Amino acid sequence: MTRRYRDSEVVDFVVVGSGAAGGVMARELSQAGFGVVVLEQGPRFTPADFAHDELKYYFDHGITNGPAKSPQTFRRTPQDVAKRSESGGWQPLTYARMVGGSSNHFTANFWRFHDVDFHERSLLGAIPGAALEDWPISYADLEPYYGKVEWEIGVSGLAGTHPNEPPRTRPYPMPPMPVKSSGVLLERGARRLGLHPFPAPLAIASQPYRGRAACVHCGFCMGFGCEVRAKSSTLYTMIPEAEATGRCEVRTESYVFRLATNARGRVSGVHYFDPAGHEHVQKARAVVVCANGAETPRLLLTSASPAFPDGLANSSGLVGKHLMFNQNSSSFGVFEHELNEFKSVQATRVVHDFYDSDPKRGLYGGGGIDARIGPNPAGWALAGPPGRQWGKAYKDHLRTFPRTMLAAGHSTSLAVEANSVSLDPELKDAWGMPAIRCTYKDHPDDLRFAAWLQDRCGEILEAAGALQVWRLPVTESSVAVHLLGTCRMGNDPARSVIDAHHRTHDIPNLFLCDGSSFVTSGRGQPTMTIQALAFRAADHIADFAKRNEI
Amino acid sequence: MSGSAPSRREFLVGAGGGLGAAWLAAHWPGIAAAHEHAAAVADPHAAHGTEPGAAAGIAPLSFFDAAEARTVEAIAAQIVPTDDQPGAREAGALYFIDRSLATWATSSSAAFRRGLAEFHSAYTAAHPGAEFAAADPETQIAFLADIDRTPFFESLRFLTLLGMFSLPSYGGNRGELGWRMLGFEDTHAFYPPFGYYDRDYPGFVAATNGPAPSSDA
Repeated sequence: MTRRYRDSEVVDFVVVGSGAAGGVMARELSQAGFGVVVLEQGPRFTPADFAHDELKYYFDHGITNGPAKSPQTFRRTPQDVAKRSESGGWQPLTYARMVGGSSNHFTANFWRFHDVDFHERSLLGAIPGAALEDWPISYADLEPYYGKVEWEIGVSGLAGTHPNEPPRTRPYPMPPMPVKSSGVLLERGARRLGLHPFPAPLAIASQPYRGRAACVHCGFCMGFGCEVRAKSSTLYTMIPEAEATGRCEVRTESYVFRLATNARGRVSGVHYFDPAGHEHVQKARAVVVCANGAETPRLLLTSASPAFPDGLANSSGLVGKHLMFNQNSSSFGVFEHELNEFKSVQATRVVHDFYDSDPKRGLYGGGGIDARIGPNPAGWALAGPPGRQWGKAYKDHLRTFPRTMLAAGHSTSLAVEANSVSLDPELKDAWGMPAIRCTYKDHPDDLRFAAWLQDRCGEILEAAGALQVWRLPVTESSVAVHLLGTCRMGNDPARSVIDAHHRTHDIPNLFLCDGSSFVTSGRGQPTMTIQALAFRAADHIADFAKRNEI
Repeated sequence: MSGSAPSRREFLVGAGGGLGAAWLAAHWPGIAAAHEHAAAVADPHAAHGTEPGAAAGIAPLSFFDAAEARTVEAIAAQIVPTDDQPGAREAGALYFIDRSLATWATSSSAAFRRGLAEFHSAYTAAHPGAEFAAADPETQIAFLADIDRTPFFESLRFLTLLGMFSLPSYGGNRGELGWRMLGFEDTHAFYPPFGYYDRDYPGFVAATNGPAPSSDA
């Protein structure tokens, strides 16, 4: 059934990347009647290829971009010399490199953005040291597409459960996942403090859904691929539906390293390496880059040519700028009885009472709190609490594992122009292409708000009856999996890279859609919005193509 | 091996460039092969000996000699000591470490061995004629407390914990002793209730108007 195209054939669309956004784009464009070639850097896994192997997935880059083939460098500020990462072996910008991309190994927390996320600049005014801007679209523009994500991708949850829930036109298609002990305790503690906890929306099937099995609560969501197809990754949802149209080919282990342009300044296709390292050119009427917030700007920058000396679609000079990560802060609570948080999904209850930025706090920032497992056994042991990390007392700490939960804070990152993805001037990847150089220093308000939210996490745990609450210090970010903001959307071509329809301001048949499109960071769970943007972008792009406007 | 005992500062500097987490991650690609190898030779349900030699008959050491193995195992056994529950010794962390350094981690095995030799020199400088592995626990703990910020110790701690809590097929976590000590189970499926607090949960009731009533435990 799967269609195969020849390189020399001019297909309607090349989609670069098959992840959260690329999978949606491929499915929507092929269902709209267009021929689509998806070029994916990584391999294609089946459920049997995934494993409960913490060593492989967390320490061996089992499914993520590893430093052996794709090294990166990191620096705090543009004045520093970037160095290869020493941050625990994770790449500064980490993503799953395989069909379905990071929708395979994500935790599957699927919070919609709220209305405020789209117009905080107007609401709050300028923030010193940040490039805070309004989005050119509103929550109302995206609302139908959030519903589409919930029903087409498959999200479990419960509507109408808290006062600041963003408006919706449809309920969730599946009930929420069964509550865990951490969820019960978060709910108990939060309600004692007058807060409004609610069941976590998750892109995980709580019951059989569209031919996929329900979750079996194995406990290996965060960082792992799903072995029963219950997690709603595009590997299991969008990609097979795209291929079923007979118009979409997913070409794996195909690494796009340059966009091809013609004399008219338009994109004519993509250059890529096949698994053997041989170079090919796939021709296309239009290209949609959904390679993620790290690789999308990198590809535009490696596509520089005499006609585009600063890279493609970069007349604003903002390609790669405004990188945002989302801050995180957690408090650990130890309880009297067993919670066994290693079972089932990460989070079953969420608090959004601190979602909005409140000027009364004296700083910018907003976030959500969820109750979760946190780390797997080796990660748990390595992270340890403050104090001596070995010996008898340390072993006693290790044994609190089944009685411990995290209240985890997920919060904002402000856009700062100096925070960026750029090309390292010296380091090359295994294919000889310039490596990613990451520059990142959290805005002071990001760190201050994370610490503020960590205090709220601790209060909830104490109100829930924790015997002991401990925490690790909030630190500056040096590793991220939320890769946001690097080709921001906007109406002004001088201050943004793409327009409100995801078309690059500079090149009419080049579109970008993934985390790079974000103008603000949201509150720490970006994939839901990445996919809503992708459904919306695909609608517009299909319309443009039908009207011959690509 | 160094003929004279290094000063504390020399020891700290000399043990640098060891096996941090970053180093390990950068050298991990060979792990799959090691995994296969370890699975073939290690029987996770055997080897409960308390001496390296006792288990060596089942899974012979590939990298360490007998003296090195005694030291590494003794340090690991202070990182996660044995009490009423198994520690690093019983979980076979030594074998995970040995296998790692003999297979996928060969490119840094020399640095590890150098760090180990410097550890030995520093110990014998402080305790002439004595062997760390033969010392009483108080002496071992006191010495380790002085060097637990060195890259060598941090590397050994990192490997010990991975050796205790990774899949048994990697050579450590024998009989899932590490997981059992933690209270962790790895199975394909679980079903609710998962823990004590979700057993009698009455079901979610939204409280959307103003502060929610406090719920009693």
